[in-house]
Amino acid sequence: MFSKYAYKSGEGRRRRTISRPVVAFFFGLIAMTSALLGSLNLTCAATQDVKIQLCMVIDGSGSINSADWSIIVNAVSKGVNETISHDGSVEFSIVQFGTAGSMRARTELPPTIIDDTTYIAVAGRVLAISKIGGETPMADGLYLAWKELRNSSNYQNVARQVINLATDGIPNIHNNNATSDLDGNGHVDAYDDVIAVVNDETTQGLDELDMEGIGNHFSDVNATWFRDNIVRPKPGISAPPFTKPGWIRKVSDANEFANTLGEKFKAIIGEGEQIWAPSPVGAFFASVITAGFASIVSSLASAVTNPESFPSQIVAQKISATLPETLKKWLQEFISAKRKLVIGSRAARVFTLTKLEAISYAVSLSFLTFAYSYVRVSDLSQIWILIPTVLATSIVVEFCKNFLISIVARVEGVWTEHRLWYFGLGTFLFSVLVFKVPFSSPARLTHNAPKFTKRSLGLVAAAQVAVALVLAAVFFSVFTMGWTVIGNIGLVMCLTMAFFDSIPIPPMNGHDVYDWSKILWLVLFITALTLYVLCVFVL
Amino acid sequence: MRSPHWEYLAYVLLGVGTALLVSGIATLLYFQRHPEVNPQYGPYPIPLTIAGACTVVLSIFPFARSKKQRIKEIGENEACLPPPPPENPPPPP
Repeated sequence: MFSKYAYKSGEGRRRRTISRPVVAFFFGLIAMTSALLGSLNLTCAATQDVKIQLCMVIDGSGSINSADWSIIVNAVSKGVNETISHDGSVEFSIVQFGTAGSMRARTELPPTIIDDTTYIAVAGRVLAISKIGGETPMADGLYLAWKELRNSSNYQNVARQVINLATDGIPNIHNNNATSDLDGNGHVDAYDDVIAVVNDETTQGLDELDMEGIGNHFSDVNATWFRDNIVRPKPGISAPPFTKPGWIRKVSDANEFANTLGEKFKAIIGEGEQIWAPSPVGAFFASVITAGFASIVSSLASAVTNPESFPSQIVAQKISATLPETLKKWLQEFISAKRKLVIGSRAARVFTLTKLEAISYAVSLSFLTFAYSYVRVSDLSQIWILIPTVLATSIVVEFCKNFLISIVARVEGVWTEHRLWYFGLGTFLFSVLVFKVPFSSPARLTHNAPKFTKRSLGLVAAAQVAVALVLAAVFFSVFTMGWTVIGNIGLVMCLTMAFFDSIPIPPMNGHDVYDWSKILWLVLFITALTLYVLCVFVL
Repeated sequence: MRSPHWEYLAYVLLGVGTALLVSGIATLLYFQRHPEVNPQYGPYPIPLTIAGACTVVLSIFPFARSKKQRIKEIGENEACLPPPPPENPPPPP
C-alpha cells in the first residue's frame, strides 16, 4: 500500500507521524483547561434573570369602540395568564395613547416582572384599563413606552427591549418631534413625528418594534408605510410567518387580534430562545473527544503503515504485531482512502454528479439536517418546523461549498468527488447524540491520487476551510439583518466545519494544509478556532 | 521524538494558545461592554485568556527543542556519511 506519507515525503526522506506522547501531552493540556472551565460552569449556576422587556403600546383613541376595547384588554389579560412565561424572564408594561384634555398617553402598567407572584395581579390590572378616547397621538405613545423601558431598573441587564404597537389607525396628532420630512411625502406631519421618535429609540438601544394593524380600515397602504418606516429592525416584513423580528401583522378585527395574541407573544418572547449556540462544555468535550479519537486512530495507522518512523520502534513493532490483519487493513485505508478515488466511467463531465456522489450528498444532507434540527429543539415534536430551514442551510453549506470546490479541482485536472466518510459520520452522530453538539463531518471530498501534489492537496484543503469561513461571514450578515434562524444555523454550521477541517490530524484537511504551509495552517486554524469560541460564548 | 514531532507540537500549541488568547480577550472586552449578554458565561474569559497565554508560552519549549534536535540530527546524518574522497594529488610537475 502506497501511503500518503510515502507519497508526500519522498523515498529518501524521513516520514512524518504524530507520536503518542505528542497526542497525550496535547490532550492532557486540554483536559486541564476542561477541568478548569467545567468547575467554573458548576460554580456559576444559572440564575433566572429578566431576558426581555416588552412594552405594549395600545391605541385607545375614539376609533376603537367599547366592545372592541373590552375584547382587546381581555385578550391581553389572558395572554398574561396563559402565554407569557411566569419564570421571571419577561418584564411587561402597557402604555395607552389617546387624547383627553392635555393628556396624550399614559402608562397603564409600569414595567413589572411577570412571575408566579405577580401575574394574577397584572392580569387583573389589565382588565381594569379604561379607554382614553379622542385622537391618535401615536408618537406620544411610542415616546412614553421607550421612556418606561429606559427608566426601568432592569434596563441595563436585559438583552432585548421590544415595543409592540397595536393600532387601528394612523397618527394624526403632531408632537413636533420631527423637524424634516422623513417619509418623503412632501410635508412634515404626524407620520414624521412617529418616524423621528422610533429613530431616536433605535439609536438609544431599542431592539425590536413589531405591530398589529387592527380592522378593515387599516389599509394595505398604511401597512406598507408602517412596514417600511416604523418596524424595527429593518427591513420589516409582513407576518405571519414570523421569520424575523420587525414585522407587521394585519388582523381584521378585535376578535382576530384576541385570537392571535398568543401567537404574537410567542413570536416576540420566543425570538431570544431561537438563537442557538453549542454549550461551551459540550462543544469542548465533543471537539476533544472527536479530535482525540482521530489522533489515536491516526497514530495507530502510522505505527502500522510506517513502523520505522514511529518515535519508539519497539512500541510500533509491538502495536503492529498485536493488531489483527483486518484492523491493520482498515487503519491503512483510514489514512489513504482520501486519495484513492476510483474514477467511474460516468465521471467524465466536470459539472455532473456521479451516482455515488449524489447518494453521498443526499445522505450527508439528511444527517446534517437531522443533527442541526435535533440539537436546536427542546421538544422533538418541534423538529418538523425547523427541518425546511435547516435543510436549506445545509444545502448552501454542504452542497454548494463542496460542489464548488470539486468543480474548481476538476477544472484544474484533479478529479474530486464528494463521498461519505464513515469515521466522520460515526463521530458526528456520537457528538450530536451525546453532547447535543454537531462536530465532525459525515462526508468529505476525495481526490484522484496520481495528479495530486502536496501543494494542490494543501490548496484544496485550505480552500475548504477558507470557503467555510467566508460563508460564515455571509450567514453572520444574514443573522444581523434579522433572519435569525437561518443565519444562526448557517453561522454555527460553517464555523464548526471550518474548525473541524483545520484540525491538523491526518487524514483531516488541516494536516494537508500543515504539510503544505505551516504558516497558512496557523492562520486558518487560529481564525477558525477563535471564531468558533466566540460563537459559543457570545452568540 | 525527532525534530518534526517537536515542531508539530510547537505549532499546535501556538495555534491553540493564540486562538484561546484572542478569543479570551475578545470575549472579555465584549462582556465588559455588554454584561447583559450571556451573563452565565461571564467568569469564562479570564481563565480562557490565561490558558491561552500559558499555552503560547509553553509552545516556546518545543520550538527550541525542535531546533536543537534538528541540529543534532544534521550532525548525526553527517557522521553517517562516507568519508569524503581524497583530494586529487597535485599534478606532476
